[in-house]
Amino acid sequence: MEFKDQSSLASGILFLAVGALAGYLSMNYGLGSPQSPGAGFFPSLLSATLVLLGGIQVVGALTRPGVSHPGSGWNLTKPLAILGPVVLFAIMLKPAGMLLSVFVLVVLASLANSIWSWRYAITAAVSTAAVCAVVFVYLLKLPIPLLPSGKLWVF
Amino acid sequence: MEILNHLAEGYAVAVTLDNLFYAFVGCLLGTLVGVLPGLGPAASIAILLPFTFGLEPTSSLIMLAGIYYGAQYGGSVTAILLNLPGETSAVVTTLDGYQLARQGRGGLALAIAALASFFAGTVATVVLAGFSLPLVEFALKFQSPEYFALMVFGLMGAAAIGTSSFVKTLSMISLGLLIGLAGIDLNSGTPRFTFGSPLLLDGIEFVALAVGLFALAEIIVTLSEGEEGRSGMQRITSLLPRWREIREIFPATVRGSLIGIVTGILPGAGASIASFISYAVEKRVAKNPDDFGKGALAGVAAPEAANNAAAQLAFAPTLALGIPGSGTMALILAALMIHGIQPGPDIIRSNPGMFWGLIVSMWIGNVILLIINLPMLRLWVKALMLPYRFLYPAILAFSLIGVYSVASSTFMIFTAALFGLLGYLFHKLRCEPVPLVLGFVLGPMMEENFRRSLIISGGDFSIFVSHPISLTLLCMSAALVLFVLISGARRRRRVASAEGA
Repeated sequence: MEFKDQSSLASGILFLAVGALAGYLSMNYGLGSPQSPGAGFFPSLLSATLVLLGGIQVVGALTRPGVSHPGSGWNLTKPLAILGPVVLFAIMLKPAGMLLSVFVLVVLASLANSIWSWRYAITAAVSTAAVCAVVFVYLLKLPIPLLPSGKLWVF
Repeated sequence: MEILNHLAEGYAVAVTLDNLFYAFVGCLLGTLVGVLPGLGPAASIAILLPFTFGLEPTSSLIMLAGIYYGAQYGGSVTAILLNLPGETSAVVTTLDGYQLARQGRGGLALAIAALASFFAGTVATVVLAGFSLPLVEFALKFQSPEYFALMVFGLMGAAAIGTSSFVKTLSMISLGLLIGLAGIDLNSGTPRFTFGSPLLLDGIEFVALAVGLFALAEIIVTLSEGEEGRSGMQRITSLLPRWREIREIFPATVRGSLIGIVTGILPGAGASIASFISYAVEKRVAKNPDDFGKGALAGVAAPEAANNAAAQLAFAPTLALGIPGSGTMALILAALMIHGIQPGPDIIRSNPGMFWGLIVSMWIGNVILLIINLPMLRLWVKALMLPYRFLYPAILAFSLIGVYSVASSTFMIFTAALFGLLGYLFHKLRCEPVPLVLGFVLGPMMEENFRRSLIISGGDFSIFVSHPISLTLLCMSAALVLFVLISGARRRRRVASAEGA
């Protein structure tokens, strides 16, 4: 019960904030009228709903009995450990080509788990890169650059 | 009987050696590509479409249909084994399917999905053969207010599914709807929620959202909960369902098929919401609703049946009305037109061989899928017996390349990363991603129909209740909401009294 309180409070605040932001943006898109709804009509309705629902959650969380638990901990290292390599992969893909990018991705992503071994990471990286090359480029003929193109900041 | 004539005609077309071969190749390729994380039916068809160009129109349509079903089943495979749905309709399968996989019963879940899909496909074929024209006429009765009401019903179905609080689920739906509206508004040309970036003009891509919210978030959550040592499957012996289990899921399968048939005929939202509604119904009629979300067999059988039936039925309005029910259907329509076939109400009369041949070959495709996949189950199961820590880097690589390949855009990978972070956030806040996804998919369509209804009625909101079908759907939605609220209140009272006693 305690944990649920805290999560409802946080989620309620999140929805309130997002709803408010969306509502503000929607107003600027032109509401129009019921006879001729503008671009902001439906989004405004949705934003209002979101704000309302967020408010209900916040109120509910505050009025429910129970101490707010520290919760199961917000550990940002794991998300970063996975998403960091993902972002790096995205940046590297066009300039460095798929083979190199997949290699780096797998090596770095393997760092995220608690049982680390160089030999395993390198083997996995090489084999994954090879399989991706075979499946996506040779078999499916997708237009993905395999080798470095030498161009930086190709979005 | 007319059904038999049509089936016979179709049989003659479909059961030639050539067409059987194409159906087989289509199913096989579709499954293999659909199984790749991040590539769903739409991407698979886009990739494999060129293979069909050299063929005759009927044969290429048969092969495309095979690819479509294969990819759909492949999407269900990743939904069950990796918690990564290949397409909207597989999203519901992740709820119980993935839980079954985590309990070491993934093979069973896959088998049930295959069998339920096959059953639904058979029923759908018969229905299509006998009732295509009346069905299409029924579909024509659906106009903007009806579509809007239908989507409201579908969304309430998604809300009924949620295991967390109802308010949170509704919030996720609303948030999904908003996210779905991002991009250029087609009616007014106004860019919405794009924050000035030209990259967002087309809106957010489903694959990027799904990979982020499901695959990436799942990887992060599993690692942060220290479960990377866990092994994929423990029991290979439980691959095929026992007779007892088949009897258990049979009613769910039948219900799912019926729901799929009814919703699939409606162009547009039909196929997407079929699985959501059937899951919500199953949860409502089940003896132990609390099993759902923890690995209930019916929770896999019903939505799989529903989405397969809907997928097959979706061909009827696509061919007969020229209105594609989903992005995938649009691709198939495009393929047809490349071959010079004009979809429209005349197609059944002008090209009966192709139409009935397609319907029969859809059933044959179902058979082929069953034959291909049941033995392949052992393969998937073996592959996933490795501990998670060996698998996730490869899953990561495949998914990201899949995301990239949809539009050759690295921006999509960034999007996926963002949704990965959001997915982790939602997990910590105990909010469920599945309702958000349905809102995302239905957002633009819902707004379109809402707006059109208001324009037609001159700003009069009562149009939604003055149309009988629309009124019925809205009442059903309200009933669903009441059920959820009442059963939630009842459960809380039970828990409170148990604690007090």
